[in-house]
Amino acid sequence: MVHCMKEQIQQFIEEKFLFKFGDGITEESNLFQLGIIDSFGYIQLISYLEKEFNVKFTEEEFMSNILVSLSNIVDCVSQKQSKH
Amino acid sequence: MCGIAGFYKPFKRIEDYPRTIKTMLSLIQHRGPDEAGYYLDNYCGIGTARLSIIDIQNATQPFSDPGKRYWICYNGELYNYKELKNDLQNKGVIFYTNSDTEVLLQAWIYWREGCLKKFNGAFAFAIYDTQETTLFLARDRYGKRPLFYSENNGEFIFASEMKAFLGYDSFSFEWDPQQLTSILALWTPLPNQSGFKNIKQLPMGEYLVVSKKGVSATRASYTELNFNTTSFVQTQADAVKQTRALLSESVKLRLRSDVEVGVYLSGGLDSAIITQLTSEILNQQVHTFSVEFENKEFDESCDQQLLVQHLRTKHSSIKITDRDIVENFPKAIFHAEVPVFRTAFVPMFLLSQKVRNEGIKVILSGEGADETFLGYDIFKETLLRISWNNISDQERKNKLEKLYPYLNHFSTTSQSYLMGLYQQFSIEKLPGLFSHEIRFQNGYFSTRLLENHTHPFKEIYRLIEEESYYTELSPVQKAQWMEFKTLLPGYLLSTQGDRMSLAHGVENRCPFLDPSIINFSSHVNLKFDDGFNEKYLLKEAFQARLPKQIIKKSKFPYRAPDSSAFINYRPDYLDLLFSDTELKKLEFLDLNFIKQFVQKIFSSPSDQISTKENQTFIFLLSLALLNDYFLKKEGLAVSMNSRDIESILVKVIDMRTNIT
Repeated sequence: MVHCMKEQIQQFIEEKFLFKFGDGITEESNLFQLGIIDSFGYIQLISYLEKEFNVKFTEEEFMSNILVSLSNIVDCVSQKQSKH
Repeated sequence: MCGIAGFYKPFKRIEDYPRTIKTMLSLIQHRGPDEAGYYLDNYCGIGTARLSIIDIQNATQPFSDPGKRYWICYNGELYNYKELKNDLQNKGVIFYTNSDTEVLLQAWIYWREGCLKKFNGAFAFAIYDTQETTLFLARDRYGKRPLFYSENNGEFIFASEMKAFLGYDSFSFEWDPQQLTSILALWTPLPNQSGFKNIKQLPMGEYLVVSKKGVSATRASYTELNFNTTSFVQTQADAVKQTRALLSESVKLRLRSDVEVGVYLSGGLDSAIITQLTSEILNQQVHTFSVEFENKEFDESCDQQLLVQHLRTKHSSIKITDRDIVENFPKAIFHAEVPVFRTAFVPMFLLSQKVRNEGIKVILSGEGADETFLGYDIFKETLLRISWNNISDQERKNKLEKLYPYLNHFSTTSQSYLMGLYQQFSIEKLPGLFSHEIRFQNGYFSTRLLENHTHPFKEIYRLIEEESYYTELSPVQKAQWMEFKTLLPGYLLSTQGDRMSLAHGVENRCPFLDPSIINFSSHVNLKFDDGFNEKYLLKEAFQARLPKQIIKKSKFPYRAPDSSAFINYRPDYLDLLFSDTELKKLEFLDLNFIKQFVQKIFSSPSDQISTKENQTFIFLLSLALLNDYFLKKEGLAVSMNSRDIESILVKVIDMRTNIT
């Protein structure tokens, strides 16, 4: 399930931001710092995650850097889903 | 206003000199359609295509001192020429004309490079000393007038626009991928960059000396942008009064002209102030000009009309459609000469045509107000990010609300998301570039057009390291400095300003970019306000003279339709982006990325295309077109080359000897 979700999120990010994980960009890379995600793309990404996985992020979560890398995003979404 | 060009090379076949200088001038004839002239001797050729503004009869160029030792080719205006002339007359210098050209030349003869600090103007000039066979070139302190040069194989050439080099036989254009990486990341060329190998810009506030010894060019700076100030005011009331007085004086200086001066009226605060002051000073109806947009997202015609009625101006406007942008983009980019990140310069190309058709040669405009009086959101953003970790969430939200009101994704519904974004940028990660980190990180996306896009910030780091005072500047001053060195000269004054106006022989003047105004604003900025009500002092200074609606209006940046216009109209030249053969000619591009990117742009709804994607698309399109014009020498480059300079040639000084 998590694996499938991860692939889905990875695919969304890769298609939206036109790059492939692997070439110097890992699951742990901070996608802001690498200039991959901008403000517009960030809002698209959050909206997608909330809608697609039926989760809601809190302000504290936004502020605690949990949505900056693929692995953080996947962890956060799966934790939220398991609490449902 | 004028276009200047020339070469300095002792060893070339001197029989070719007249043809070469004439071809170079013909390529920039649009800058000076009234008359042309050149000086030649065995070492040097310099010429001017002139737009006559002051002392129309007597200031024909090249202009010399009475002894005919020094010859000047001059593009621009010296606004304080009357004061300098008085000063020089008191020192015994005799003048024979009423022109600022003569004042500039005599000031240089008297003070040499020391004259530059005394100049208040928009200029780029070349002075040839026939006795020493040296060439002196200089540029104004903010980069209002252009000057490009190339040193190659012992030859030195220069011109107001790079397209003049198309007329120089042994020169060929070649892209410089390292410069392009920087341009794509930072949005604009840095002050010394052109995008091409072997072409440099003389940076603003610098001069250059070319001497016969190996044709060596020595560059030096005569001013620095350190925001030191000699102003002092104690109360806000005094600051408001002085703001009005200084701006009034600056407008007055820029109304010195022997031809009628018009004003660009955008609908915003800055041009409204200029129009109000111009009406007050001239005490007559002012001719104003505006761009309207069919697409309401970009249109400010309601505010323009409000001002036209309030200030009782004679008004002319053009209404821009998406089709206008698409049809005129190729011509406008040829004039711009450098890769661009937005299309907003295209309407300015059409507006200057309208101005010229209505018989106006000189225009005042509001450029520089946002940099000088902290009008841009990037200044508020910098203030917010500096304080981010010391303020409450509520305060963060209150301040975020004041940022980028014209961007949909900055609406209050996205505020929680934006909190997370700004959290990421609350600590400096690119040393010295804190204020612009978000912009530059977004710009990094555009560098992916290039196969090798490493080190996009290398050149900007080198530039700030050269300025010893930079580290002492406050975060907001660093943001100002960055604007003064990148977007202002690299796009607003050049691509959107000088190049578009002069494409149709119209001279633009910018009263906010006066040394006395910048000296004053350096003292009063953030002294009486917290920076979140942008241009607070300007608003206070003109609230009694302008409609309330204009004073209260939030900053509405001048923008124009981007990728969607091209996708809707699909002009033929878009084929350049779909053809592997064409794209492969730009061998430094990353074709795989470009294919994916172009596919995404053409298959996504326009509201799903981000700002940085729009910018990247415009960059790509401009690169492809410029490649045709400058490297392949096709299209416009050919038609402009064949312009007839002979019909406006009024002065030829030919001192060549031993012609075979």
